[in-house]
Amino acid sequence: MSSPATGDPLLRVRDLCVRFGTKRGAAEVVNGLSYDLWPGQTLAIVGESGSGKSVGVLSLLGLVPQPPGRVTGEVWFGGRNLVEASEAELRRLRGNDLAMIFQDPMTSLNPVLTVGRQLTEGMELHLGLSESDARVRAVDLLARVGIPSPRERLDAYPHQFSGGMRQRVMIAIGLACDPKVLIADEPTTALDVTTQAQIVDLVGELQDELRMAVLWITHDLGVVAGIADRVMVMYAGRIVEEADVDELYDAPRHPYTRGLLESLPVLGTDRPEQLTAIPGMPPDPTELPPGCPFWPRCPQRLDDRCKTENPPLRPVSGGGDHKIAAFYEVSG
Amino acid sequence: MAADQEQPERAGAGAAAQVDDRPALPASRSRAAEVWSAVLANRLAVAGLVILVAIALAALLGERIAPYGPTEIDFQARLEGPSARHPFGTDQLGRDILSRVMLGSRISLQVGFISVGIALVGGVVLGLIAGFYGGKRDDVIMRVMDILFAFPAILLAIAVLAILGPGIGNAMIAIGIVYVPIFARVTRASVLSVREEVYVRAARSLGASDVRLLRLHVLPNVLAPIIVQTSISLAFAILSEAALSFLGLGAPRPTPAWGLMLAEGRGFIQQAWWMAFFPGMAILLTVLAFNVLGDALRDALDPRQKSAIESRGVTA
Repeated sequence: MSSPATGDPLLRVRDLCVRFGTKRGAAEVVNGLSYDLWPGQTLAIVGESGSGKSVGVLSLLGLVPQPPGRVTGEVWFGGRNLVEASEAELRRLRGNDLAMIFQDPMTSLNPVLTVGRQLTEGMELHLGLSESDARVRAVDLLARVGIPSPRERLDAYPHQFSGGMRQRVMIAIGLACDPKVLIADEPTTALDVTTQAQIVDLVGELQDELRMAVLWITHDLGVVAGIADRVMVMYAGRIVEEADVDELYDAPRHPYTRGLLESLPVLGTDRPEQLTAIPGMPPDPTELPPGCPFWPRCPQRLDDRCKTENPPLRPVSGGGDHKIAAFYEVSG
Repeated sequence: MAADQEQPERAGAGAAAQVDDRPALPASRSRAAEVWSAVLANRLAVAGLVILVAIALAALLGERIAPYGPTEIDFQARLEGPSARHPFGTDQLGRDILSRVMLGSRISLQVGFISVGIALVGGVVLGLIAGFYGGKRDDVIMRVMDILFAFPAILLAIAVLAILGPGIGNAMIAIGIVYVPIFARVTRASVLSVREEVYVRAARSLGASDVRLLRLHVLPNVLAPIIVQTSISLAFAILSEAALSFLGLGAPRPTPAWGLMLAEGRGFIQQAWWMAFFPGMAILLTVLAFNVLGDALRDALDPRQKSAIESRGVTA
């Protein structure tokens, strides 16, 4: 669950920053992310396009090319700081303890290799299984993610699968080495709604079975409600609000989170003429405003400091581990 | 998406245990088989294949099926025109042109395959490194390739032969070096787009090393243009060898080589047209066959055409 009393977090991220050198100056894409991921927990990172959520997790695995990128801060996993780990060390962790699934299942499988070959690759690499052992396990994995006739499908090519099936295969590849953490970078975005629900359910089931932690990145608050224990809302590379999932939906305290939730259509109510939108655009990461990054779009601006000072992430009044980055709180 | 694909998927979500007894989808045909059948559907390509097989047979069987020895001199039958005894006529020393053309294919094919092999290995390795890593390595490799490219092919080959000395083995090396830049460029261009593909990133995120990424994920996906370039380069390499032999820098006399025969025939073109005509035709047909096959391969490997075939297959 969200805040287990015992043990250490699997993943401890402290003040993670990612900067990219561009012609127009440094783009500050991720600015001081800090969070813990506990065993068995599902942590969702929500934000709109360009909020830094994908880069934030790619940097965990050392997958942000440096240069032009520059990653600073600390990422503690298994007693090691991954930010300072060597490429060889990271390679041993990738796909083994830390697996990742990607957004678009149509392009994330190699078109010229059979599904079986791609499934067994990681097992041969990390678990040292022989080809035949790896194939046995691959059949098992395909069945587990709900692929019919897994033995026959092992020798099929990606183009012979539908989008949802391919995402299932990707999940099977991600699970191949029993990862402790599964990082899902918008795995349902490219799928239709029915398939989305199936994939969300599948990851939930597998998570219960395997006791792994899931870091789920999405821009879809509807998906989050179905799967997450805890939610972090990102804006302009910062966490602006962090809370347990029910708390966040029931009582959002940050004006941005409120704006996001208000922009969702609600089933069973009278349909409004127009959905509420947050006016404006996210700030350019090369020219972040000096104050709160949301200030230019904020409908409230209740504090004078908003324009000049960047509000730090702090616990809300009265709520234990509900945190926001704002000088004031909007009430439910 | 087709209904027959969606159906088992939905069932699979809830009942993963019992889905195994569902009928499997039609057995998957391998990609190579698909490409092969697409090539066979192209009539010109089949004609090219037939010509190449005939030439390959002539090269393999050589003396066993040739009516005369390639260097067998018969002064009684000098400069005879095509006849039943000598279908392609004879040259100034009375040697049978047909036999010489048949055995000449050996040198041409040998030069073609070996020199293109040299160019292929060198160019693909350099192109993979340049395209995948970019930066300084890319700059250095591609500028050297540009320098090689700046010379006319035959001039560069002559320059290399001037260093190595004439002879058929050195001619192969020289031609190989001449064609390295083309392969490097073709490979690099495809690698530039493939390295950005999600599946390459995904493989990296699963812990694959650079060598593994290049071998398993990048190389197989850039193969299509390389295969096409290979078949076209085979044609050019054969032409280059003919040109070098023509200039006296390739095979030494009296080796039966098409270029050399062409050069000798040139002097007799007024009296004995067949001396230049038949080796010339052999060169032309071989080059044409490789080109036609290369075109067909390009079409067969074109992903847009492939996807058209697939979508037809899925909706059917």
